Amino acid sequence: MTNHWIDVRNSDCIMIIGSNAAENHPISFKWVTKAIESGAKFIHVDPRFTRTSSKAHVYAAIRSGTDIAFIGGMINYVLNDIEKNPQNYNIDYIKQYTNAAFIINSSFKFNDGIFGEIDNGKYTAAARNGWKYSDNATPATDTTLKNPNCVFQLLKKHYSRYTVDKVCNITGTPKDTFLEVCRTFSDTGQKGKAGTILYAMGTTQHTYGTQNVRSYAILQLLLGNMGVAGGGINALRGTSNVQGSTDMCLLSHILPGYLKVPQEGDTNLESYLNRVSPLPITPQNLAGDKSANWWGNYKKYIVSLLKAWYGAAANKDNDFYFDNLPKCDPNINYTHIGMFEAMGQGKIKGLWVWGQNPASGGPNSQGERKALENLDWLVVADIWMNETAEFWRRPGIDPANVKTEVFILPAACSYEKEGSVSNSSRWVQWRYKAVEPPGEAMPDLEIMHYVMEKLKELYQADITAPNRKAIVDLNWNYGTHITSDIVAKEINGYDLVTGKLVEGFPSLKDDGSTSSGNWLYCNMYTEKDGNKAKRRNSVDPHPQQIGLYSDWSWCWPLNRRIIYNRASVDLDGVPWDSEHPVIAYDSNHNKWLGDIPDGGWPPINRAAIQEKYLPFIMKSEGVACLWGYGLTDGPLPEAYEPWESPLDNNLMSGTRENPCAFVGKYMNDRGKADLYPYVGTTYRCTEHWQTGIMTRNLPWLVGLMPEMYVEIDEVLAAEKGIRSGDKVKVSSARGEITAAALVTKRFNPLIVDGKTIHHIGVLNHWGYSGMAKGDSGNILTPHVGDANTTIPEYKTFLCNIRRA
Amino acid sequence: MSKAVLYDATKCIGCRACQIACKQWNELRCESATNWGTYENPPKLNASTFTKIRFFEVENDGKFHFVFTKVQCMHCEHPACVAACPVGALQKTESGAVVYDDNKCFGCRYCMVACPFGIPNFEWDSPLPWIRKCTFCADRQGGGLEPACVTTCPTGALKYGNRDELIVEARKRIADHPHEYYDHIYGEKEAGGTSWLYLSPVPFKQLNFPNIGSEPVTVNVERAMGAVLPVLAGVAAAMSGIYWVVQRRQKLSQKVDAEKKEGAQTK
Amino acid sequence: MIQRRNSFPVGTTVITAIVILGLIPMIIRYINGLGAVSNLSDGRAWGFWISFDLYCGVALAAGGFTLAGVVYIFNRKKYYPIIRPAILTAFLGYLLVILALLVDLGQPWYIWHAFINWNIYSPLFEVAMCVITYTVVLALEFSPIIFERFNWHVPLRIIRAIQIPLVI
Repeated sequence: MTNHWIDVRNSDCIMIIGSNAAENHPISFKWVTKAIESGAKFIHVDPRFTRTSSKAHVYAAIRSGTDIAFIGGMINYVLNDIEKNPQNYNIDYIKQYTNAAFIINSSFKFNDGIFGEIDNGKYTAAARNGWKYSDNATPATDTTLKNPNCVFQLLKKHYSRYTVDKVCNITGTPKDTFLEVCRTFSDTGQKGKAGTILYAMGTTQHTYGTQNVRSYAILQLLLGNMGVAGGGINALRGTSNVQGSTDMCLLSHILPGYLKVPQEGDTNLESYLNRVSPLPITPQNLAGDKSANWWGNYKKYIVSLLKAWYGAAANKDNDFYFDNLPKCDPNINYTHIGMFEAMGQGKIKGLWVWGQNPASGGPNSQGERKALENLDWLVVADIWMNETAEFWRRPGIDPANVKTEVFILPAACSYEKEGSVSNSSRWVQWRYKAVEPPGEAMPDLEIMHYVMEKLKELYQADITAPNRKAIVDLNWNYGTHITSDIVAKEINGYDLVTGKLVEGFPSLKDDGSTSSGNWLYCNMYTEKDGNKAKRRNSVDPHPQQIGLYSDWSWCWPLNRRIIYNRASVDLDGVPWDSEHPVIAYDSNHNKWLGDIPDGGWPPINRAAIQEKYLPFIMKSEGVACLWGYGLTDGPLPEAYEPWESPLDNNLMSGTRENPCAFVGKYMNDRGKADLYPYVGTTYRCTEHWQTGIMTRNLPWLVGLMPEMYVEIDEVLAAEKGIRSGDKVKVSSARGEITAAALVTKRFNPLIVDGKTIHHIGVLNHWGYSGMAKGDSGNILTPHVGDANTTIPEYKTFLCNIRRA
Repeated sequence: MSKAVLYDATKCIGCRACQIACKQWNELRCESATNWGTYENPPKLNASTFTKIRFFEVENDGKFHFVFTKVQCMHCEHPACVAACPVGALQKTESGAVVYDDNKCFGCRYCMVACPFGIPNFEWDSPLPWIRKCTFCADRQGGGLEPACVTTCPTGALKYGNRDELIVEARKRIADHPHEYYDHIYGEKEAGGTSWLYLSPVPFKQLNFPNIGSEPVTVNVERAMGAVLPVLAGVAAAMSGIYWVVQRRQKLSQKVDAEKKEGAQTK
Repeated sequence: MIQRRNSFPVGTTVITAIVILGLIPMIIRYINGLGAVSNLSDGRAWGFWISFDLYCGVALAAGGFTLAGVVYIFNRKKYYPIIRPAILTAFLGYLLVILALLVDLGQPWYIWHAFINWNIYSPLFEVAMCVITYTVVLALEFSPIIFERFNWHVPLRIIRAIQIPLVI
């Protein structure tokens, strides 16, 4: 989240899209309820009317997979309204804090749905060059926003195609409802008003999920809603500590602190930094004339990380051990889908599955389960036996035919160990051990510790082992009993000269004199305050009382609760919203009041020439990007159809689907609308958790939601002769499941391009393991992923249904 | 002052944390269930489910509503079950809770028949069966805590407090947002008033709330029971009277017979 | 011609068989609870059988009471010969009511709670008091037969003394 949970109560208009917050983040609804009690409007956009929609002032039905069109229509509305009623918008914000005024390279091409030439699923270098600014070091700007090549005009041109009629034809949303959404949300464009977008997997789990989020960014920036209280783009994370896991970068393309993973072309630290560490981009003719380009500090963070990992073994002479780091092949996709594709081809021999359940949670379950059979060995660390651990004896399989050796490591659950959990708000909260783990179960930290010590021993003994030094030289001095406390300190980092904990990442150095396991978490554990994640002061120290609660736990970066908050004030440092100020400049004392400012420099108009820091410090251009040239599939979001679509054509352009999406080949048949006429979508319910391994073993929760079910609308049910409670079979090109049917008024057929579209809602909490069993919804989903992240397209596919 | 809980259906998100919190606090088992075509489970309250959430998909005034209601013992001001129980096992306490004393109960189940909301449930499968129902967490209230369901509700749909204050708050909510609420506080007057008060966005009959008048159920019972002793006394008096009359007539006729006999003899 | 009379007429045999068969669910009821032997549920807490049982038992007793009233209060002496069988039938009727309660009540071993815990507002309390009173009265009205059999003169005289109040 750019903002945080409690801040939602400050909002004037909450739009929840691609999320069913009341069901899947029920505690968050405390804040939505408070906002509504204070007069906020609440919009819910979802193919299905859910428990969240029941509280909405405006509910907009939408065909699954058409969010870019929907938001595109809203952006078009706002762009037109900005010209008609500029007084209702924060034009200064748009001009000075975003790249709306920047002039784009004149060779930019957009034609019929694609942004230039594509070669083998990737845009060519020439095409991508056309996406850049006219001058990439010091871009020219037109603060009148009239230049036909400026971002604002290019936006207008692009979004002029997203008319209300076209959008409603694609999404199936009734026109008057759509216009009501536009009006209500664009109302927050005024100075002093804020709208927030809460989103979750409904947004991200598409072949263009990243561009879905980019749409929100464009909308929120045009409305001046970033960096302000009650605003922001707020991802409701899918599990309780996934924020922690992504911060520590347990992902294939990043190192802790969102540093990029080295690639084969990075021959040394310098060439790596040339590739990843951006140069500052200084826009001309804006009030702000300096970009902090915070990622320019890359070297300090990667060096400090390497010092944390390798200690004394990493020094200036050996490039801080950079050579020994594994390097990725830029042409290989190492993500979940990519990995299972490789596994299906027999390229992966061993797999360690830690607190995850791909056999039920990954897309295309039949394919992924079959791919697991190609492994020589599999280790599963989990608190229960799950579908992955039991893949070798799943229904329909003779264990004698599976050669994989499976090891089970029982793990302790969250109440049986101590450590931190980072929530969606980036707040790191320390948790304590309440009970001993049962039997042989151990906390993950201890499991990792014992394994690593043993690995070090083995690598030490075997001098022929590949990349042996990378293991042997690891700084692993945690003693006999490793604690989260020691690791937390290491993550924060030390000043290696004094041996004291580092105060914060501004103090990290690139000369090897500091270490930090994760620069973002640097400041969490200090000499003065100790482990700040343990703080529980429930008094909000700020007189403005906007719910920052800065003394409750600690958040990154540097306990800044609302990031980009320099955008919440005007060029003089005066908050746009006097009732909910995030920061405010006290000119008498030359300091900022309120939240930790996003850079302590004085406001733009008070700073010296060439010291006028722009507010969006993580962007190399210092301003927020309406135009985003850094993504794989285009600088602007463009509406495509999902990989499996009920329509033959894309109504927006001649390009039917995202040309850069990752399409798997392993056991991944593609369904067509003639055999599979209905739009399937997978989702969760309050009562169960993820693949259900925890909750399907708890009798109380099983009593609430006992069986696998699918939800269908009354019209489809009548057509197929299905009554509520009947067993049905739902099938896709990849498999078939049995489930109980729940016939509901909350799904309605949508009219899309004259066709009637029915959704079938499939829950994904069940599997063949555990106490309460059922079919996994992911048997139906396809092995395709987003162009940028390869997150699977769980949310839209084609399926069919019949009575069992 | 009687405590009460205000349930506001416009704030409830149907998450059912209350249903589980109740089970956890009262250490109730779960029962096996099937998906009978709805989120709702179990289908009815029973001896191991003291509260549940009901789900309704209704249309009102041209708008579609997905409404949730929490059902449990209403802890009536004039409880029918308390009046019905022959051994006084159910009692209305000062705090408002209608509590059950299993030291007195012998399982006649009259309370189940008497309750207009059909709340008391019986342990049909147990050889030592008790009546079971929501206790209003009288034990937690005694310890200065709020009922388990209220404590766990994330959105504040459940609010605990003094009954008269909650009625004032409920009226205020209706007055402040007249388009959001159906203009009625269920439980304010029904069955003579209950401790559980309800606000809803749609008419209560669409949510299967029983349509009960404001006269307490106990009024008729008290009238009937009040009549017992007078009737008993009256009948006893009448029978005694008849007996006396009959005996007297018998004596008189015996006397007349004796005199007749004497007269016949003397003739 | 000597007519041989069967000591056990068909009717008695059938009814005896029914009673023995009925013992089985009765025993199951005590082991597995009421739900195991009946279709009672939370929505139907009282069934047909308890009303049937009580109606029959009380109806039988009503006959006995009425006859006692007719004979002793209204002094219709000609019905005197059948008063004893009537009282016996009535007494058995109320004993059956109590037996039915012992099966139907959830915890019949606590039936004595009715003696010490009184809720005067409860109609069922009134019913319980009536059942107790009538059973005691019938027992007392029946007792002379026992006393005469065992020649217990003192109790006999006491009963005779309170005979009329008992009947009333």
